[in-house]
Amino acid sequence: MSWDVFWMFASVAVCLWVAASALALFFDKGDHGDHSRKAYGSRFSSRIRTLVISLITVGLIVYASFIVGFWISLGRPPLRTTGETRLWYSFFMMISALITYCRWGYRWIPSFSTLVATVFVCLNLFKPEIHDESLMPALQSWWFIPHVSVYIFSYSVLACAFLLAIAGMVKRSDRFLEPADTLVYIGICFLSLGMLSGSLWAKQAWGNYWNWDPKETWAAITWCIYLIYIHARLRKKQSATALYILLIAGFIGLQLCWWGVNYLPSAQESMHTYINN
Amino acid sequence: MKKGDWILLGLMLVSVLVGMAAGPFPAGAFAFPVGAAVLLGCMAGLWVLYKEKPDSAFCRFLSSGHTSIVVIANLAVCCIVLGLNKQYDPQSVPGGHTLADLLRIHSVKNSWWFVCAICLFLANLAMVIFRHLKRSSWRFVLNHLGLFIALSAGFFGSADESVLRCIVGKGETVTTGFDRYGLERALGHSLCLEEFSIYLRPDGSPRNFEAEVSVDGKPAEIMVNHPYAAGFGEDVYLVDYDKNSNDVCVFEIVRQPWKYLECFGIVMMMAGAALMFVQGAAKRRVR
Repeated sequence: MSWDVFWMFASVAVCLWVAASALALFFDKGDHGDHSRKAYGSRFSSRIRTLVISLITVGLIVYASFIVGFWISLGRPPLRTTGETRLWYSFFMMISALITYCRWGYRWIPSFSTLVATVFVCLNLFKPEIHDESLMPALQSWWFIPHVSVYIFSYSVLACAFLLAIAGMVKRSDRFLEPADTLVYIGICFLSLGMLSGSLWAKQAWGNYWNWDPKETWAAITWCIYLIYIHARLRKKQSATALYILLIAGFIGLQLCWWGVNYLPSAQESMHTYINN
Repeated sequence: MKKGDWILLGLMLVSVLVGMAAGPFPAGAFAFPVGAAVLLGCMAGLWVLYKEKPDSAFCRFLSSGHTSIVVIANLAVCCIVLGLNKQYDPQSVPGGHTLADLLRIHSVKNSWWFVCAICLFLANLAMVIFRHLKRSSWRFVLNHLGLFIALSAGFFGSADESVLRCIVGKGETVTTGFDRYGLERALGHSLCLEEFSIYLRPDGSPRNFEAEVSVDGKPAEIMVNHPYAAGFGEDVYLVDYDKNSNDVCVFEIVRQPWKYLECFGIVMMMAGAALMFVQGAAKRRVR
């Protein structure tokens, strides 16, 4: 399986996600700020909800089929290039959306997540980054899969927190903070595990746990922003708007860390540049 | 802003001015045992202060959640300066008297203000640990103490680190290497390259390469991601090879005596992160 057939799997998955999003957005009439199970269960149309969840799940299975087939045909995990990480980002984005929708029932979550996932699918469709079949020597380590996959999962979970922050800013409400807390705690756990596993790997590969390489520096900045959010939530004095701004700033930090850092002058001699080496 | 915030801001400004007057931070002066003594002395000082006057304004301010937010934000801002600007070795920073040169934004790691930001962060972290250690959860201890151990070991241990690079031909034995300033130094070991193998892909690019060496007479295999432990805190890395002759390798001998402590802190933090995932968001939620 190769990028040539990606469009087939991707279009089926995206169609299913779009259908689920439309159903959730237009037919789901539940009260989606009330987190109590009772209110959630009594007001929510369980059939629509089940259908939405099923469609997203089937879409994920179709999408995952391509990833598995691609993995087998490459003979390595598809986690090396930007295009390949975009593949996982779309996948984890929809998993995070599914979990958030199941837990809190926000009807707009599938739509926003589908939009973001589709953008990354389109980037891969119109600009697939196809590379060598084997990893370069520096990437041949058993740290590779856990380090990259936990990072990408944290990116997608924190992207959902970012969407909640946008919703909170638009609706001028603090009711999105509680679900955002849960997502930030999950996200920062995986972000920390990604960063720390990366530091152990860096010691093995380059001789130092932390080199203040531009990518590492931006990872530290992003981590600090989410730490500020967590500590600010434990206090009583921060306004909801300030907290939402922190979540948005954290998401910008994530994007800079992931791909934006390549465009900064500081990254000219980054050790984290693997493409075209 | 609280009164204490102005003091923190003042400390940062003083560190900037000291840096402008004195040049780069003299990290070399903190080599063992000075660095370890300073760390232990500061810890002991903070501990005594906390035990003797736990309700003093200083202790309450330094261990408060508000101060944690301020020092983390302060460190993040310093890191943004570091992340936006190309960095050079302290010895090769472009000379000149522009404001950027005086502020050392191209050599942030060697600036007084970056060191000050890390010290403030560590001081707050230490005080928070002292204040909450007795009635805190495992996850608090693992995350906070782990971060303190890893960061202080990396920070105070950096003066004891050294990297020596040596180029070794097949059958050749070397006992010296070159530091990053090009000065020749003794390795403390004899390193002999016995055999070197390159595994190529169909397109001719290297898939992997490995060297069979003997270090002080003991045979060892070294590959990328597989260094050889030559002694306490010492590892030998295979860095590169001569693409033309294929029988000359570049090795690095990295001395990092604090690495065990740093690793211990990192593992503690990983356990803390896993525990945080299992336990979920903190209970002291406000809204």
